[in-house]
Amino acid sequence: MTQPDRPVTEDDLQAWVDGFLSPERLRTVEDWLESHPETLQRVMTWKNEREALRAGLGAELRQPIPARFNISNLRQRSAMHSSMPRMAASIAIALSIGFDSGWFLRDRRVPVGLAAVEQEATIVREASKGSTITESNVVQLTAWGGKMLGRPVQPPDLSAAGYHLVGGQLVTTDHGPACVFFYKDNSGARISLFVRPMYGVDVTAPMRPMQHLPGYLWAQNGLGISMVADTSMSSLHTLADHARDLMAKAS
Amino acid sequence: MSDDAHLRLQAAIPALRRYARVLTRDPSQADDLVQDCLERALTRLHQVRGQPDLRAWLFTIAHRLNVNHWRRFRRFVSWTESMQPEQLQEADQLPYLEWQEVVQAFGHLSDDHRQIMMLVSVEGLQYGVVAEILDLPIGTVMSRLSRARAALHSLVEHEERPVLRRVK
Repeated sequence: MTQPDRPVTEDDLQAWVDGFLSPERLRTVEDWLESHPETLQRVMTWKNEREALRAGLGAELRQPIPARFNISNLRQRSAMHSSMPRMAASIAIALSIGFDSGWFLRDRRVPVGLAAVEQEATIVREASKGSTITESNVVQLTAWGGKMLGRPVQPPDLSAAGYHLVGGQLVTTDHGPACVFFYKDNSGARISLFVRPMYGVDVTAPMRPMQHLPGYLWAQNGLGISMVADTSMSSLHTLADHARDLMAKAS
Repeated sequence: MSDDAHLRLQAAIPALRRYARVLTRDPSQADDLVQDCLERALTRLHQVRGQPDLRAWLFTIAHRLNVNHWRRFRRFVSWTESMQPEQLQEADQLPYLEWQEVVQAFGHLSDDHRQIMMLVSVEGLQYGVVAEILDLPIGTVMSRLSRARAALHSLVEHEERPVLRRVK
């Protein structure tokens, strides 16, 4: 079971879609997927449909539970059937209707699609100043990130444009985990690249400027990406185009 | 039996109802199945002492009840008729529409495919657990899952739909 070079099977692909692979196996399967783009496309489609189905059928879990399923009522009924003495109803049980069913979240408004990426990238930029993983650990970060995001994530090499990878971070958002990579140029100007999978909405979207920050936002190949600079800079649009091209080539 | 077990049972009811709808394709029959299932579960709670998540256990009971009894009484009700699309709170209906494409395609899958997709893809249960619920060898679970995913995708692909992509 632990041979790392065991050939990739159809079962591995299913387990990739469901996020059930062990870290070692995940690496093997994702290495293999990189050289099999058609299969990668297929499993990513399955994964997207899996997420859409989950989201679409999630509404059913939020429906209120009919009173007939109140456990204390059912207990009384079954007590009558089995004529066994039972304890009286518990208030805790009555209160637990809707427990763990997302009921409390139903009125919360979370933006979707690229709008959500924009909000997250803005929050992350503020929150992540300071504690970051250093460059030497970026390999580890991309491995984690790949695992958490359920798909390979590689930071683009922007050195030709004068920006060097200096670190990164794995963060959580309302829409699941995301990776942030930090780059610096020789003058010390910093940009961050925020990357997370898109679920159903804005799986690909054209680049647009961000509303409140010097930055650009787009989605390609199922990933939502934003590039944000610490200060406004004229070359940022070109740099974002460059990153997008590099990431398109890599996938 | 402890109240804790009852809380765990109560917490699993939404998932049980959803699974029962996949089994019966009819919300009211599904709820009758749920009730039958819960009554049985209440008499056997000692079997799941210390088990935090009762979904798999309840699904097993529901699956067996359905196979042995409920299926005989099933009326034909199409999935789309029986679905009661809930009004979502989000201002943006786009994701809802996109999910609905997949949900509708799901409704056109065979019973076997819908069950496996619900248990694996939606509930996120491990393959071995699903094999036990459905009383199938794991190899059958894997091949059925693969075929179900392919079938779902081809239904989504071929569905006629308006262009829903957002234009910025």
